[in-house]
Amino acid sequence: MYELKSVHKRYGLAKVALRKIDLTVRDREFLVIYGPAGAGKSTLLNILAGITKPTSGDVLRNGVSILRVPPEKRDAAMAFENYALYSHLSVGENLAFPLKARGIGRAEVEERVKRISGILGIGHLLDRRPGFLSGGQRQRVALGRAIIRPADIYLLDEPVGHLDAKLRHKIRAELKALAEDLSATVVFTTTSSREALALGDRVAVLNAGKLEQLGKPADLYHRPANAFVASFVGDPPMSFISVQPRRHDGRVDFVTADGMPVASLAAEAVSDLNEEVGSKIQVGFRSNEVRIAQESDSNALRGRVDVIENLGYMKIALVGIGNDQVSVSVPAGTSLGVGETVAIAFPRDAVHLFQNARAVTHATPSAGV
Amino acid sequence: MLQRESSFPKEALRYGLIVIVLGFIVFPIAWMIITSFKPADAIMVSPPRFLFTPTLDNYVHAIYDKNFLFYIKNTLFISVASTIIVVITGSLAAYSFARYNVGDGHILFFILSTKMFPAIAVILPYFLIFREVGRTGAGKFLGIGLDQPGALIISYTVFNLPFAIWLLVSFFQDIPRELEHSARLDGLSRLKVLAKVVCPLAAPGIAVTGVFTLIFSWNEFLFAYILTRKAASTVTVGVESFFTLQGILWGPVAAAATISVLPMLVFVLAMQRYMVRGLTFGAVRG
Amino acid sequence: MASIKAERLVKRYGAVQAVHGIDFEIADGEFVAILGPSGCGKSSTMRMIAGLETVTEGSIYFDGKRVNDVRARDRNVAMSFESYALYTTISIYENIAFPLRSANVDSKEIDRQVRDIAEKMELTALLHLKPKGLSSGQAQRVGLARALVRKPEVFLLDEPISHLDTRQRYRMRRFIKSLHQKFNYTMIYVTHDQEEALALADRVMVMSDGEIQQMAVPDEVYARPKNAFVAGFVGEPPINFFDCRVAAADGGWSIEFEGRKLALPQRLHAAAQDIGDGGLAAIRPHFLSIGGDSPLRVDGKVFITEELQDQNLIFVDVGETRFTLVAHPSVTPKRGEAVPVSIDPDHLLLFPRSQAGKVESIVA
Repeated sequence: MYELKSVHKRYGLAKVALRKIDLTVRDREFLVIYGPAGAGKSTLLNILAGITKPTSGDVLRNGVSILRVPPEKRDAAMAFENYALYSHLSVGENLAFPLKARGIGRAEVEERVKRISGILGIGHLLDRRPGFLSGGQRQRVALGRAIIRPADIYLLDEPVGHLDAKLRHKIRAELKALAEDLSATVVFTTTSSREALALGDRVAVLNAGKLEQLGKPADLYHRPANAFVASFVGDPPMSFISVQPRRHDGRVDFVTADGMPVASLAAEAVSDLNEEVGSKIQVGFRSNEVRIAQESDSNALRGRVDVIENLGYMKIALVGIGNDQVSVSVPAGTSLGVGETVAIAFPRDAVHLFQNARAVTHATPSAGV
Repeated sequence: MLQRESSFPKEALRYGLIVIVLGFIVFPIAWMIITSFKPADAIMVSPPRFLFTPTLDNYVHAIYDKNFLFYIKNTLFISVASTIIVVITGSLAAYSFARYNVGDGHILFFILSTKMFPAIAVILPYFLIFREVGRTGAGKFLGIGLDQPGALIISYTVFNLPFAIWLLVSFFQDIPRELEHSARLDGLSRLKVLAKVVCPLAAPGIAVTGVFTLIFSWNEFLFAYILTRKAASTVTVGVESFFTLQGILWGPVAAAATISVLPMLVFVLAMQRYMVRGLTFGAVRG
Repeated sequence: MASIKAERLVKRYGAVQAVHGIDFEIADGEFVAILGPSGCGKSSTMRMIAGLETVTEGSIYFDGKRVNDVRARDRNVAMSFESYALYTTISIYENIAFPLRSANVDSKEIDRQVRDIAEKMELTALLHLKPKGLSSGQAQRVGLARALVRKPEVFLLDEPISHLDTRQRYRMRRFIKSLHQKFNYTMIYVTHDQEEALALADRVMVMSDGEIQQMAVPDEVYARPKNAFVAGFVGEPPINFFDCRVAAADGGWSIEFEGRKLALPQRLHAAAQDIGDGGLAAIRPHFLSIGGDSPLRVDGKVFITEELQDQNLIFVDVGETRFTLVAHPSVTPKRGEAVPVSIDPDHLLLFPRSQAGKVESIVA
């Protein structure tokens, strides 16, 4: 078990990479650090590896501080975002390097190199130097070098980010299966929502050095702590409509600036909502929680189709409602034109509600494909 | 992407230019070698003679009468010793400048600034220092004194080190830090990382530095002329002794010069395979 | 704005032929994505359109006028590069303003346009900085802003958003799309990301090995791929391929897979006839299901289940073949579990087995 206690990292005087991070990496868990570029993901891994020292705070392993333990004594295996391959060694020698450095016998080295290179589909490249490989191949070598040896913790910094889609899909599954089979502790960074949800036992959402939320994928997806997490987790991202509350008969209705009702919740469900004037209240929807309704549906909101994105198996229509835009999943066969006016039906009692970007309640509807 | 479209006139021009440039470089060397095989009466004639009976007289004179191999031996010892010291201390210094930013750049600049000092300005103090040191017991024991190899080794080291460090720093900086981090995570100590990862990757830089240092020491004249008399004289000083009161012995000079070039030629050819650029090609995402 | 036409377009670098004599037409104001793996010739094609590469053979026409010998800067083509070629010595503001300054635009107007585009690209806070400290995503947006600020006739984009995070990608994608809708540039977008190509383009041109494999609207490319390469390259999660035996049966055709036989629907009869004995069948992950009552039902073993919350991705091994299928979030079979897998015959695709090599090349 690894614990970061109030870890703060500053570069120079002004650049803060991590802000008072408290985070536990449990034994045998697959923890995904998910955040935009520059969020501090790599810094966090480097601190766990011992490459970077935090400005303040402590790093514990099984309750004991390891701040003073140098990287070579930490038993962490790492795949670097920029690959960091030994260009003077062949692919096979690169893969064997961590094993040889630990004095593992030749027969076993060969056997493991064969196995890992097979899983990653680089078995035919073992004799080549990294300089003669494509970017995707290099990244696989980097990943292979990290997972080839048994380690206390595996730190994988965007290890599949530069593979093409098909390969990423394949290796993602292999990685998950491997981690399960080895009961390995893995910390994995990514900028892809799909990867984060697919791989993580738990996901930590990092933004500008701050830990926004840590939880199971389902928590992040269905009960995001704030509007950032809500808009960042999920593919496509959650969309929001600005609303005003109207209280009556023990219920609170939420209506748009034009007075159109979007949602209606029992007052006790929104007891956290304060009456502060001028606060920004938003209702959030996932693209599959709303649908195109009949024109006659009196509860539906009218909007104009701004953009249609074709994903092959379905389309996403971006519908402008007032000053907001809402993503709506539409079946592949639907004919819909840009500029068309459509009616959008909202699940009126099942919504995500945010006040000043902080989540108030999640009355989650059943998720559907 | 580079486009190469070749046509005959373009190719002809290219090769024509190559021939001209090569002529400038090769001709003096060729002339030196030819001269070294000419009999004395064929050397200083005009127009120059291209047909003559080759003779080894000049070599015999240089090697036996002037004992030129003695100078070669001295030079070899002094320049190789100085080069080894420069490469080792230079690499260590450059690595710490490149990785730990020792002295925040100020020390590096200070070291490089010593190179801006002309040699002629320090030759007199050097002479006096080495004369005094040579008289002490330690100086005698270590061979640091006038007309002793230690004096030249130290002088050359001091003069080559700044340049060597400056050259090596950029080579070390080019090695991605992640390579070292990765090796440390694999369990190697800092020293082992240096030996197994950093040095192999910096090999081209170290080779280049070694070649520059050795050639500088090999060709150096001023220090050798002032600080040595006979026992520790180097080839450049040795050749100078061919400029006798009776006149310049051009034939033996050419022979001695030819002999002096040979070790460097062999050395540079041997080092060439290490001097490939871009050994770190492919290490990181490009 | 301009229409673009290419005739027998060839690009050779020395002995290497990058583009093998392709023909295509792009209508005025159309948005075309050139999609393909690295080395397929897509960038060479685009660079020839931009005038950055000479055309080895063939012709390129803008509005019917041959432009082979027109210099890049005279074509009024804007381009955003994959590697963000920013000027490091000047501020981001000046980087964006650069194309306008070289076109002698009035400085007030420059300021207005730079701030306008910076606002849309979320770069306002960074305008005074130099490019050095930018993240790759930010640098990309600056590159895009610089290309867009000129309002070109033809706008070429070379993978400008491939490195962004999910949220930024959606934002940028929608921004580019709305840009196209608003200004009606003729746009060509070069990418290796099929999702972007489908989502953005009016038509997708799939390239591989210097040749056009298919050029059609996204729905066509997705649902009726011309060959196994297109089928394999387009679609997320990727399509499933499996080897099968093709045989004539009862006046129709059938395939055999893992000991099970399936009569092929009418629409595949012609294909089956051409293919002969060995076939490469393909089915999208959305048309596979756990259980189900398809006439083609095979036994599989679950490799792994990925819970994406809105849907589950289930990897199932059937014999030597690993299938991916998309299921409802409530379907969560465990690793190693034995499950029956149904293949929906209505969405089955069939290719000659000789195309298997092309599929392999996708993940090279």
